[in-house]
Amino acid sequence: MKSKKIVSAVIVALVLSVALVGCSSKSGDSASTTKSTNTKLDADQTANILGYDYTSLDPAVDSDMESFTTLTNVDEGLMREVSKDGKTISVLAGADKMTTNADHTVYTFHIRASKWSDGKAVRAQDYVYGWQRLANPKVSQDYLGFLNEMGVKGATDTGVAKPEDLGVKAVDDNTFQVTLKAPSAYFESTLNFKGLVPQREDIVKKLGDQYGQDFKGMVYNGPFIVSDHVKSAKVVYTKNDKYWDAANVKLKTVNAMIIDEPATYNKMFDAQELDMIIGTTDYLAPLQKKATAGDISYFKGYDPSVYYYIFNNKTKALSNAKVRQALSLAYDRQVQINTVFKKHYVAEGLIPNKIMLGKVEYRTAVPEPLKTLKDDPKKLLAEGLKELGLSSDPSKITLKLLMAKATSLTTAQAQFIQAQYKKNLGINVSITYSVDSPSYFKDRTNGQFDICAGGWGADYNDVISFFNLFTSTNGNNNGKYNNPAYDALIAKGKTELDATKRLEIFKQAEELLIVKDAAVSPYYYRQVDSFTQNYLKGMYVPLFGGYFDLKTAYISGK
Amino acid sequence: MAKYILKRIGYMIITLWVVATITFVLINAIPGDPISASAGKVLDKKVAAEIMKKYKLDQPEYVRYGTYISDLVHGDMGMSIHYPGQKVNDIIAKEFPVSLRLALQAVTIGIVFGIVLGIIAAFKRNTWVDYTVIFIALIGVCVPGFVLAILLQYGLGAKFGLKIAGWSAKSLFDIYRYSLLPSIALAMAGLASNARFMRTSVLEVINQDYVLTAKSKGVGKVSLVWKHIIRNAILPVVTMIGPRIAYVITGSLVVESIFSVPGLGRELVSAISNRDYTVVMSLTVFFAFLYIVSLLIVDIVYVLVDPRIKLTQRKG
Repeated sequence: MKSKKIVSAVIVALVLSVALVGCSSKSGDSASTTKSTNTKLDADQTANILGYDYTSLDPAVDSDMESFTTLTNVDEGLMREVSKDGKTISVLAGADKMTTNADHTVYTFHIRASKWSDGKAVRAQDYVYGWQRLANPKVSQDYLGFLNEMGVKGATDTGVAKPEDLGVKAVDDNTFQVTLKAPSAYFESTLNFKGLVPQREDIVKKLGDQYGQDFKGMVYNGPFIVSDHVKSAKVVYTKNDKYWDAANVKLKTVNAMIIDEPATYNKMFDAQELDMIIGTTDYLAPLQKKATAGDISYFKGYDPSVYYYIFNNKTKALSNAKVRQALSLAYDRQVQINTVFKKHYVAEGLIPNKIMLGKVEYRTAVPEPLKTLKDDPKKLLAEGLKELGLSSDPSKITLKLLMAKATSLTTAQAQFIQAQYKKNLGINVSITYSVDSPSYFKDRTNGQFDICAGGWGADYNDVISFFNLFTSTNGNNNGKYNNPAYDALIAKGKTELDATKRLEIFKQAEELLIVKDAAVSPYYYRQVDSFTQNYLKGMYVPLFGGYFDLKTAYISGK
Repeated sequence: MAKYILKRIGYMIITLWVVATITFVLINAIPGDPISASAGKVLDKKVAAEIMKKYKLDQPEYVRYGTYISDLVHGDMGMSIHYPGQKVNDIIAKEFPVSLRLALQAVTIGIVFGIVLGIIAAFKRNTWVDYTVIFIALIGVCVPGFVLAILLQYGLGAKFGLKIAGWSAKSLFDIYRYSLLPSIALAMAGLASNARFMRTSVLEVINQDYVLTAKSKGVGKVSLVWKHIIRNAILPVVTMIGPRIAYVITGSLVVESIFSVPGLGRELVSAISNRDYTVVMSLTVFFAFLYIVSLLIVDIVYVLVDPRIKLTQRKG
């Protein structure tokens, strides 16, 4: 029947139209705001931003960037991270004066006169209690050994046996004193770590096992307080009127919406339902384009982390430095970034940009060492194999590459390396994907690889936080790199107070690690991109401390 | 009836115990543990050992098992490891209503629209109405819920600027606004199969003698459908409600993640990748409990709908 034919045609049309709904994805008109030079504050200082859920508000147990983000905004320690003249430095915040004795083993802080959100004064005793908690094995978690890394007297890599053992003391209500095991060249740079904020003993006792979860019962000494929290949905920050610098905090309410799907939060940002998001994957390029056009503001930043390929020094073929050097040179880092990751900065050294050594940004003072290695990788490989007594035929070598969970990104990366090594060196690479992250970490710790990818993010703004990683006793030294000369340099670098000499020490250490021994092959420094609507001004994206710092932000011209 | 219910409850307790045991064995067998899973970096061995002690994870498995089961019997579902201090009972109290709302809305939409469409299709058999319903049913069954969910998001959210993503419980309007799309995404598969079942079932019933009798007696169309046809034709749909609820509970894992709905499904997924033992075990037991209870309720509803069905065998 004719009508049957028409009906079939209609059905086909309906099917096709359903498919097309997915294709018409042009986002709606972006609000084209004229660049406003108006710094007059809007009446409504409420911001809605892409947010992150915290695991706990207890500074002694937090270890993830999401929780640190919250702590940065609601708590404050002795120092605070700011950006000045393009450098990332720490300035005094909870303390208003810092002095040290002649041999730099005792630091004395004058605690600023300020209040907690419940009106009680912030005292030196609160700092003592907070630091003791971080070193308490019954309470603390991932950063139990941090005070030991800082060099505080009495601390071990598993904290302290008794709180009183820790070398911290409240001389009086406003004087906080720290005693170190030895003079430290980097102690000051550790002071804005989130676990070191003051904590109130009476609140900890009152809330018991709900300390860290009961946001209404917690007290805060930062620019904001947590006024509402719906797990996995949102965190609401409200201005803390009792904050010592409250006069300079402009935002009244910030709704941090927790949204996992990039598709979702990008749509919301387009519709101005969100005032700030991060740029990820395929959404990065369109956002960058809009920023160039002046429609939105772009924060292209650095994450204090470096990613590298780890060579298992216990594998026969990899136990020769020349072989490792060859592997480190034999792939094109820029091409890898262009085709696999589509962002980040090429790394040919261990230390990323923005990391300081004293008052100097390390990377501006020390050129990346791998740039100086100009040898032909094929020749290096041949020489190395000969020294090992192995056949000089590269195709006889198969190296096992261990990757994390198989995703479009990890498969692209693995196949890229496999192809590059085949092409440039002639060696074979077999790829193994892990089931998920915990399995991957376990296999990596147990050395179940010849090559694997790793990364390290620093906890504080000093080069030592990277160099520590490759000492022979470090638990995270997955490739089991062991060079006493390197260990000796690092030990010296911890205590050398003369900045020039210290710079030279680490320059040598980096040269040794990356070039002479080629223990690992760095390939990128992480790039972090944030975007805000033009009317959200003054936002600070910290280097250490999470995804956003709201203290100086404000709404103007919405 | 009461004896029957008691017997079913007894079976339920045994089933839940088996579920808890199997889950315990499985989650402990997976490589990795909550401490290293949560850590961004691999922890120093000694620090990791201290943390394990803090959470009593260094105790032998049978001791942990015993503690867990005895806590469970007392109604204490334990504490999360990944979110220190967060009690699982609180997690369930806060997030179950969200998932429940989605589930009930999804099942209701599926049943109501499925039945209506099925009846219309049956009455207008072999017309364009019928074919449209069959087409919708095809879409609902073949296209996975989360694909529909994303298409809906793009289509309605972006184009018409509807605020649909995220979650807010501020007002009743907000709640419905944010739960609408996730519920539709979850409902589609159910709606589709209900429509098909209903259509077939109604076609059968229409040809029965008692319907002919009623029609010849002059019973009105609406009354006919409501009093005679639905009650007889609905049985296949009721049978499917049990598995339907299971589907919605498990489907919610994906849909909740996409729409960023703070429900139990999303919680369970992240707990597994965090190796949060207590949360995984407790939520699994809870889901099993929900499923068994809904099956029980469905069986009872079955008897109420059709008195011809007997739950138990009568002797003699």
